Amino acid sequence: MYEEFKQLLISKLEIDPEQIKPEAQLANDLGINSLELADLVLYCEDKYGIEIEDDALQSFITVNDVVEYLTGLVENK
Amino acid sequence: MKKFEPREFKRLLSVEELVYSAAERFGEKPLYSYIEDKEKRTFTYNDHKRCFDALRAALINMGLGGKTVSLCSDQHPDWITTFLSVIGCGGVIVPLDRELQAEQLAGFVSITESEALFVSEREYKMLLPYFDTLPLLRTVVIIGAHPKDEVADEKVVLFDDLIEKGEKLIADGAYVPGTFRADPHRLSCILFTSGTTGTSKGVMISEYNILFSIVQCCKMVSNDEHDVFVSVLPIHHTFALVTNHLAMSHIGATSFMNDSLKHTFKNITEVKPTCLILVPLFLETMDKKIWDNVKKQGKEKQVRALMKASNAMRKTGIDMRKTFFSGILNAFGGNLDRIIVGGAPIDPEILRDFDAFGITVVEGYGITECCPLISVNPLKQRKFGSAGLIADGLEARIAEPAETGDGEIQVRGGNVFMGYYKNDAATKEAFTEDGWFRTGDIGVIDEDGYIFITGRKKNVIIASNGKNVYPEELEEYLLKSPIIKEAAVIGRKGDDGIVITALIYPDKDAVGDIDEKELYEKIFSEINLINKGLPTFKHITALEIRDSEFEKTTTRKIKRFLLK
Repeated sequence: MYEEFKQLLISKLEIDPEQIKPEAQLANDLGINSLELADLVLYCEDKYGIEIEDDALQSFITVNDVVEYLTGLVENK
Repeated sequence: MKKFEPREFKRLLSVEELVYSAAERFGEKPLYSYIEDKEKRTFTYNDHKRCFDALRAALINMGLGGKTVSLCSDQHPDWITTFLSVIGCGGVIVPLDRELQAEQLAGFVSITESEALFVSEREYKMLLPYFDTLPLLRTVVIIGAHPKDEVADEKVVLFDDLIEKGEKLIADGAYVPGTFRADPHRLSCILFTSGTTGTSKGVMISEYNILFSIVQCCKMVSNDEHDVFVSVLPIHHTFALVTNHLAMSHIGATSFMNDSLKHTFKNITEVKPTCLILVPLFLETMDKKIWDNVKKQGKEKQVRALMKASNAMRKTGIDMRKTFFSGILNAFGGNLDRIIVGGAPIDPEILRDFDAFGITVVEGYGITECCPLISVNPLKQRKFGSAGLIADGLEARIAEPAETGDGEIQVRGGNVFMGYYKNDAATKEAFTEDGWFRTGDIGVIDEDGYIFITGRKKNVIIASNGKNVYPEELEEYLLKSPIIKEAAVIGRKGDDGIVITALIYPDKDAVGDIDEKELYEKIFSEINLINKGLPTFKHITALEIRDSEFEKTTTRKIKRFLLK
């Protein structure tokens, strides 16, 4: 899941692959704003056939937070 | 520049007149379309009047007429009905930010002595454990879909049941709509400026302030009943509430209520709005998306050349933007030709991009204390880089201008608030002796009456989503950490906007003997814990550790002006 999400950050938001690390902060290190994150989340919903609560967006601080959340949802599908 | 002539709009005397006159003029036209239970629904101007009257009847019958009512839910027509009905039966409405945590929400319900609370299901579940701690709270009303068998508590009622009850009271003659009168200058609404009861100020607004602002807004903008909006900003946000919801209902427009931030772009494409009311964050993201797509298609040079050609043609009176940039415009549904933007400063480059593509961006300036409109650029008489022309009926002046003409913007007029809730000292500080409101913003006013903002006196940090971040609130959280002795939060200008930065003087005894890197990580993990409980726009994203205490005033307050 980490690799897939990393590829998404590179392809959708053109983020420098060097900067993407599990502990990288979405806003601080990667410059992703809440609207871009919401857009990414929507893409993941379509891709994995899952539904991500709007409230969850607020709790995503690092890349790993998103990856863990997505993994949990996909595994419990 | 030719003098701007505001449109003619009659003064409104009550929220009842706002609702009634709109229903009379627009009847079965949809005021809102929205998603509920995954289905698209419509709420007409007549529905608006029917629910407004029914809810007033029910509230008065329950002894809630004239009382304080808190409101916290997602975007829903019932939110607007509640807002207007509470005011329309003499009460005080307290709209709350749904991004707050349960404890903070309960705090606001408590300090405003609210006797009723209107919430959507999410907030109902969040606040359930707090109901017993709020002795004055008599009634909790659930807005939107909620299965009846889950409602256990007798103080909890469903919004739809209240409407049914109100309609019955009207049918039985127990309540006669259109007969309620109250002083429009009374307190009608309290808007809180930040997330905690300790640091937040409650902005007291009268019914008159709201009505004055609605009419002002209608006079200054060029929208009409043919306009379609997608309302994306949080509904409790004064800018969205007064402009997108209340003023546009007076004009007869239709709004689609965006059901999720995730669906914003999809909804805009599908609903095909003619106008949007946004904060800069949205425009920045849209602009980035446009250029990312253009670059991916390898058409950057071509698009830039077309923009140049199109701009030159426009000077000769030929406008080909709809043809040249149809691909870009279609991503916004194809009908969008205006965006009203406010809440935070915007990069002029973005305004130029949108203008070149065929979407006019109109900048405005407001502040909650002015409910919120202070100035806006008229559609056909815009000044680039200006926050707009002072709104009709409002006076503005620059206090103690420097040689450059810059000084504090002070205003006076019917939309200026009544004062801060239970905070006489702050109220006194907010007004000059001759009754002008000190906005705390620094700027100049040119000879045509256009405001240019050049700085800011207050500590508040303006996030690019237009929301205010109060350093004092974040400092309060930081100082709860045992390893932080002193803290100050500031907004530093970064490449992608404002970076909320914590300046920390650690408690050396509590931290123990650790190296610099460990100390940084330890403090940042504390910050991350705080961030997890906050909406994204308030996240602290940078940390600077100090070796010495902050310089302070005689009253032990940190000298903030030294921190920039």
